[in-house]
Formats: sequence, structure tokens, C-alpha cells
Amino acid sequence: MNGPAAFLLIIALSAGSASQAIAQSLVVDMSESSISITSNFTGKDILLFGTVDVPSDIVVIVQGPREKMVVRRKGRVSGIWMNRQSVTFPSVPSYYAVASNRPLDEIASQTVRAQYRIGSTFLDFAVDASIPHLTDEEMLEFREAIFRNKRREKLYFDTDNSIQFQERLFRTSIVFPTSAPEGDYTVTTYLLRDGLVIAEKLAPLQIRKAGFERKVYDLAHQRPALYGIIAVLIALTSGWLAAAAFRRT
Amino acid sequence: MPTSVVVGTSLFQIIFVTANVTFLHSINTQTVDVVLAVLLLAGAVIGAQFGARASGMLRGEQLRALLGIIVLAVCVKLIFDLVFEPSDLFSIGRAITE
Repeated sequence: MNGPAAFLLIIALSAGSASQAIAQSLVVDMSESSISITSNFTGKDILLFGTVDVPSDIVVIVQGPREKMVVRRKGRVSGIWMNRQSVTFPSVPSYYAVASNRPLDEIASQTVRAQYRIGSTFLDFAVDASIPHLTDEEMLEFREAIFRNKRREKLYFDTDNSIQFQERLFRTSIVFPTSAPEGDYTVTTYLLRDGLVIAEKLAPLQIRKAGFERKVYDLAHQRPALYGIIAVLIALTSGWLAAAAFRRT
Repeated sequence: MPTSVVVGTSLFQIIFVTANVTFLHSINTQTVDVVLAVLLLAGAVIGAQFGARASGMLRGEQLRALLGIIVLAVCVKLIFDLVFEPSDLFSIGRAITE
């Protein structure tokens, strides 16, 4: 669904349910609630749109499936750089995006943001108990490394002013890169007024492999031996085919 | 053994090593990317034909020198990565779950 059409739809929806506007102060929807990864998948933009009844602030947080991550730090050992320290974070979102209509520190206080975990500063990675004795500052460096690396891979986004308001309607686009992992995502929309969270809407979003990509993936996991033999045969026959083709010419 | 034959025998035994590794890798980790492999193969098998033809035109010493240059270039790259400070000291990776 394209932008203008979504807006018209929202106008129609909000006109029809004007009487419920007080009870339902936040209406949110997305252009799609599932993404299929096919062999020609090159990433996807999803449009998130909604209405509010009075001027407010909107923050949208999208989180991908969580996974256990290791952060390694290189150090110099007799002139050679090698991995020396590592910290394991048991629960790191594989994808994380924050969108808001203005900078987060203007929208709400530290306390409110900490309470609702709004913004990357308050993202919880659940630190492992068996951490080597590191100071808080060192831990912060390891934590920052996740953000830096994930941002480089275009899997983490913090974008202030990425939600546009048009009177009571708001919209933003959520960008999923090619490397966005498969799994269950959550899209949480917060409605804030005068620095307080008024409403919160949670919507699921699925990213799944489909078509040929799905078949290859299933074969690799269900029949690994057969998959391995096929892989070797493909390599052997392609080499033989090329040799045969060149011999004739 | 003449150098032109050495290339062939070396590549011949590599077939068995790599085939074995591909097979074990797909059984143990399920991460052999056949789609990527096909894309790479398309370039490799065609390039190999030109390579085979080109190597026929070279003398043994020239082949050895070229092979030596490749080995040295890889060495220089490895040394460079180890000795110079990396742009980011931190790297992240998925933890292996037992």
C-alpha cells in the first residue's frame, strides 16, 4: 500500500469511529504484517501509520528476535593484534529500530524512558553472570560495540524526527535490510503527552523465508547429508560442464 | 615432477578435501550456501578454462614465480592485518549455543 492511499484509509477509519476517539486515543496500522524472504529479496520498507486525538508525541520501537551474542575485544600481544577479552550478552535483539517525531530526550524524562525502555540507552541485553571482572566503563564499551557493529550492518537504527505528523495523522517507514534475520518481530508504538506514556500498542511482525529460499533452507536442515552430496555434485558437474563446453570450441 | 603437472595433481587432491569438507560442513552446521556457491562457480569454472589454457603457454619457471607471488601477497595481507591496529577493536558474533 502506498503512502497517500494509507492516509485516505486512515481518514476514512477515523471519521467512522469518531465517537470512540476518547477511549481509543491511539490507532496504528502497518502496510504489511509479514515479510517473505525469497531468493530475490533486497530488503523491505514497511509503512507504519496511525492517528492520535490530540497533538502528542509518538515513539515506535521495532525489535527482532533475540539471540546470544559474543563481543570480542582485540588487544596487542607482542606486536600482534588478537582477540583478548570477550563478553557474552545472552539476549540481544537481532534487529532494533527506534523512530520518533522529535529527539527522545525532548519527549520524555530519563525516568519515564527507563521505565518503558524507550530508546537504545535503555535496551536490555541481560548481561551474563560469568563476566570476567570488568569495570562499568569497560562493560559500557562492550555494549557500545554491539550498537556500533549493528548500525554498520544496518540492523540498528535510531532516527529522531523520522515520524512525520500531518495534523493528527502520523507516518513513518521501517527499513528492513537484506540481512534482517528470520523470526518474530515486535512493533511497539508509544503515545506520549507532556512526557508521560498515555497509550501503548503492540503489533507482531513476521519475517519468513519463502519459495525457493525456503525449500533450500528446509532441505539443508532436514536432510543435511543429502544436501551435502547435492552441493558436491553441483560443483563437480558445473566444472565438468565448463570443461566439456570449452573443449568443443 | 614438472611444474605444469604439479598444478594438476595438487588441484586433483584438493577436490577430495573440499568435497569432504563441504559434506561434513552441511551435516554439522547446515550452513553451506548452495545459492552463493552456484554464483561463485559460474565465474570460477569459466575462469578456470581460460586459466588452464593460459598456463599451457607459460614455462615451468614462470608458473612457479606466479604461484610464489600469490603466496607472498597472501602473507603480506595476513601480516598487515595482524600488525596494524584494526579500525574497530571490537567485533561481534553469534554465540555458539551448546
